[in-house]
Amino acid sequence: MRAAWILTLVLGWSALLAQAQSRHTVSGYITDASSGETLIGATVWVESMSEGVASNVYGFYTLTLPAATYEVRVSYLGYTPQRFQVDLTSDDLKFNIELQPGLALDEAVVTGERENRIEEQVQMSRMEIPIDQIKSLPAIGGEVDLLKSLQLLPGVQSGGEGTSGLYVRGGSPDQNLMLLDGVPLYSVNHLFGFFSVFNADAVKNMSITKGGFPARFGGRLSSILEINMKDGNMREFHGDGNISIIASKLTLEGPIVKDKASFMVSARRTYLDLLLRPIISAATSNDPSTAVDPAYFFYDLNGKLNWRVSPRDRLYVSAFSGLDDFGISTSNKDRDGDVTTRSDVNFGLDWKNQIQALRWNHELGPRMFSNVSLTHSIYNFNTGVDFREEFISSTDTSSTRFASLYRSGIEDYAAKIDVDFAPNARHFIRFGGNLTRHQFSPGALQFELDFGQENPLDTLIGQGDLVSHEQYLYLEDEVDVAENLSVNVGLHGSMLSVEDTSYSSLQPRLALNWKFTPGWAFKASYANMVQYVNLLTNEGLSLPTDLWLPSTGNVRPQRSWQAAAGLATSFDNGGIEVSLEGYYKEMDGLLSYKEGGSFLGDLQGDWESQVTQGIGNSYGVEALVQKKAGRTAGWIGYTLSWSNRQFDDLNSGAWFPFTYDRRHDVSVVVTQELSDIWSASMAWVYGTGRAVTLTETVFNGLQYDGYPAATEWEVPSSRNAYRMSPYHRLDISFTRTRPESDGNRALIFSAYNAYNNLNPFFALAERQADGSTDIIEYGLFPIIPSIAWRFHF
Amino acid sequence: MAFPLLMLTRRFASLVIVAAALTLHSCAKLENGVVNEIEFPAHDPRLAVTMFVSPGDTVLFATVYQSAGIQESTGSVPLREATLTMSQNGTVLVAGDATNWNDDGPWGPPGTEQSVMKMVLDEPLQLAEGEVSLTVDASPTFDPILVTEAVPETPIVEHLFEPLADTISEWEYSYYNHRITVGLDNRPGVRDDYMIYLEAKFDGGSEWDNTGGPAFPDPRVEYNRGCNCLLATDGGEDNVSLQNLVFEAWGGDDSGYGYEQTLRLRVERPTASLANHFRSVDAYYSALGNPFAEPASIQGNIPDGFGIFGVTNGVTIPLED
Repeated sequence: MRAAWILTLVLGWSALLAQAQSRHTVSGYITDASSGETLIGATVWVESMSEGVASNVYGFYTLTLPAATYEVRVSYLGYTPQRFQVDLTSDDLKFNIELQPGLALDEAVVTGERENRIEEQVQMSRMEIPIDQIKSLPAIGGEVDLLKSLQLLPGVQSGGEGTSGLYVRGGSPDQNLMLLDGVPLYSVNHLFGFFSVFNADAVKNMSITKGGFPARFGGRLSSILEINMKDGNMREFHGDGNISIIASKLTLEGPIVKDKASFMVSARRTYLDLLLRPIISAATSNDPSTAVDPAYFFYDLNGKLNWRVSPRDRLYVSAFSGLDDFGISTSNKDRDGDVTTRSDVNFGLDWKNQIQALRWNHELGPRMFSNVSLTHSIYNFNTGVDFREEFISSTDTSSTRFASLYRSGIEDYAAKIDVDFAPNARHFIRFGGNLTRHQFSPGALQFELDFGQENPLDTLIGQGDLVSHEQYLYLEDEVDVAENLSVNVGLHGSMLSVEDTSYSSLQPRLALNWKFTPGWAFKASYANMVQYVNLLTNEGLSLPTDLWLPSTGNVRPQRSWQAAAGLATSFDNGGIEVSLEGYYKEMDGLLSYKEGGSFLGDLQGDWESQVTQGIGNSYGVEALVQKKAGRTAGWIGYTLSWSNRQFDDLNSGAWFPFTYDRRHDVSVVVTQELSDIWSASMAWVYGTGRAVTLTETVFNGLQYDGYPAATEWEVPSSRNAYRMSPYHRLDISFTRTRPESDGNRALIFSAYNAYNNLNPFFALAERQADGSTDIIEYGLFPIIPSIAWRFHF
Repeated sequence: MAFPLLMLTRRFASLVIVAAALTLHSCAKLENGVVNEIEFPAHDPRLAVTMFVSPGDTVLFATVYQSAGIQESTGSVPLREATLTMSQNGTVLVAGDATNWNDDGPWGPPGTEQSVMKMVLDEPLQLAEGEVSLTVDASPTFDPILVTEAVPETPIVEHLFEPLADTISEWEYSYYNHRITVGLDNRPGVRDDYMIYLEAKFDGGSEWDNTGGPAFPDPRVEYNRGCNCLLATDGGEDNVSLQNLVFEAWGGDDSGYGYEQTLRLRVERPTASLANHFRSVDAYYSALGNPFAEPASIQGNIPDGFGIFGVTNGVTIPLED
């Protein structure tokens, strides 16, 4: 069956190649006329043929048509559309296109292009928010956060108050493939999840795909998040800066060789440590024998080099480095007669991400484009404590030292090739492959103990590193089957080798767009996904301590299938897009700690003994009304969903709601230009309360302690049987932008949680004076006003 | 041009007033960070029964309680009027009622002597192969319940005792370990769990205390707080051998201390539900006080209630030279 299917594909492909001989191709790059930055998803449309194509992630487009002269129209959100005459009567044509940026998101500039409309796109369940729109949204502490913006979309939920974790269509955070310039990032959190690592000033484009995954994507069950860094301005030197109450950042970009090579570098650092240090020092100054020095900061650095080696070749070098560093040091000095005792305790916790990517774009011909990537990604978590004590007297000195260090992480090396091939205007074929070497460090604890003995203890407890190799191949074709029917059909085959075990899978993908009546499209999709890496985390609490682990002989890969169907249309000449989607997803191989398990559990045993695997499902309906451009823009999103889990070892084997089973999720986002100088934005969110497990019952019994012993048990309800209070919040911001001769300056006034609704973050059982116990929900963030200053030159 | 912020404020004056009112109203919450108190529904009391039996027992303990909601100050209430009957093949082996409550109890927190039923048998408990039943009648509070368990097969235990087989020298101090190698049966198609106790009693003493443990990390055996034992399992896999389980027990040191002790190996086979109960108790203790741990419940076999009627069957092997 499989062989027949592959044979059909090959034969079909050969026929396409033969057909392509009497046609000619126009191809090239679409760029921003002012910066030379490539534009992703810009549309080239031939009205007379009702055929078009969008530029790929590198700004390259290719369109093959019968020999003739055509008028083509090129358009992109926020840019002035342009029309060109293209002569394809005798030969292929290399035609690079530059688009002039329009006035920021001007309605007249942006809308009305039929080919851009949602009902024309085969891909469903994919959403994109323009970066400029994200920057205009209210931000906590004035720090723009890309992932928090995504949480405002239907089908995408946050993990809790202030956190940037993504829960997509009932999936968990590890089921999201976060690609920064094509490289997976394993931890996207700063400050325990309150900020993401993505610096909006360094980012050109961001999109999220929640379902209907094309075959080129794989390795995760729930979503693909693609974030592309700016390439760097090819024409002029520019800079962007932002100073907020939490952090400052600076982005510089410019040509190295005009129109040949450019750079972009962006840096961000928080200064909570600098702000808090004098406060802590003042608080402890009344005890001169004790010194306390807490410190926390995070930084991230983004950098990119872009070099047009030849008209057909480009090289990109991308790098990212991010670090969170938390520590607290206390020092105490006491004197008792002749003896001085000095003790120092240092506690530290840090986690860091680094990626590097080298990418080579090459035009194999006017109809074929390739990209070869070599990438490296590493995530490390460390936490430790170091205790030293010294006793000093006139006659003797002795010391004691105890230190422990817990560390975990994952490191990837990968090589990848992707090829785009457009034999004619009706087919767009993509194929490629990837090879990744994962090295997992599933958690190890190092102890050092030195109390003056001859041989100080220095030992390592935990499992050693584990290496796995993951490969995949894919082939997909986006076909215009008929004038009103387009499909994207593909196959993704993957394999994992780990220790003595290997897994393989063939994952069919299908998406279709049927324009059953003018202006309306019915879309449907089916996708099979397999995931070979797992994040072992405690439900409802995402921490840097979470462990990345491979599938092994005892831990089977996660698998899912998802079917989705929906309607899409646009109104107001394409200015307002409306979509309604229903989905159903089943998952297998979901990983969880067993009851009582945690990352601090059985360090001496292997992690596999602490975990259990189960199944899950999620289903729901998502509605989105979105206006991407104009003086008033924004969207209204609503999700009605269910998400459930079943593990033989949890909840007595019965089904239970996923902690992020959120029945209702509403978001209303509006950006408004009030004048040439003032603009405003607001975002209001509402979500059903999180499902939680609470201790509910007390009973007396016996414990078999070799012999029976009386005991009292306090046991929880069935898993996630209770709901925390619903979550709702309004954020607002006002921006005053002042043009200057060399750029502009903007003051942003914003308020997170503007009407000060204290949303629940966690619940605690508290014993009262009468012996009863109350379950109290605690909030975290009240209203947080902030001010930020942004500049561009 | 008028200041747009003021214009906006005027235009949406009602909204501004509402927002201001909400802000002021919720300021009070910030004092202690409390959002809300989660209201539990009224607790539906359930019967909680716990009893462990094993052939050869001469004293049996049991608890019969009514569960309470966590928010109730009364706590779990003993059902002293309840009657308890354990029988096999129509023969009553043990019976307990209100008179069994007021007796000395097993180890436990202060006051527990009033909290358990204690049944002293005239002769060691005899359990034949087959099913054994526990009936608890706590009417009118609860309907009578019946729990039936199959008496586990007596475990087949092979062992090799190597006294003072291992000498360990650390920091100019040497001590000696006995090595005990145990082989247990893995029955096809059945999950086998074994409670292993290595116990020592100093000469002149009366109590047997746990001693020793696995000689090296062995995924087949782990210490379990539910049974205070080394719980060995085949995980329900037929291809997991339970042979060559190697344990070590302290045998003494250079000073001669420790030689005057008697060792024994006790291996009990629990029912499946009891093994599951032990694992859940272990998980429960792992979760206690650990904010990062997954919540754990106590598994049992009481219909629509809490607790466990646990049956074990074992052998005791003296370890001698």
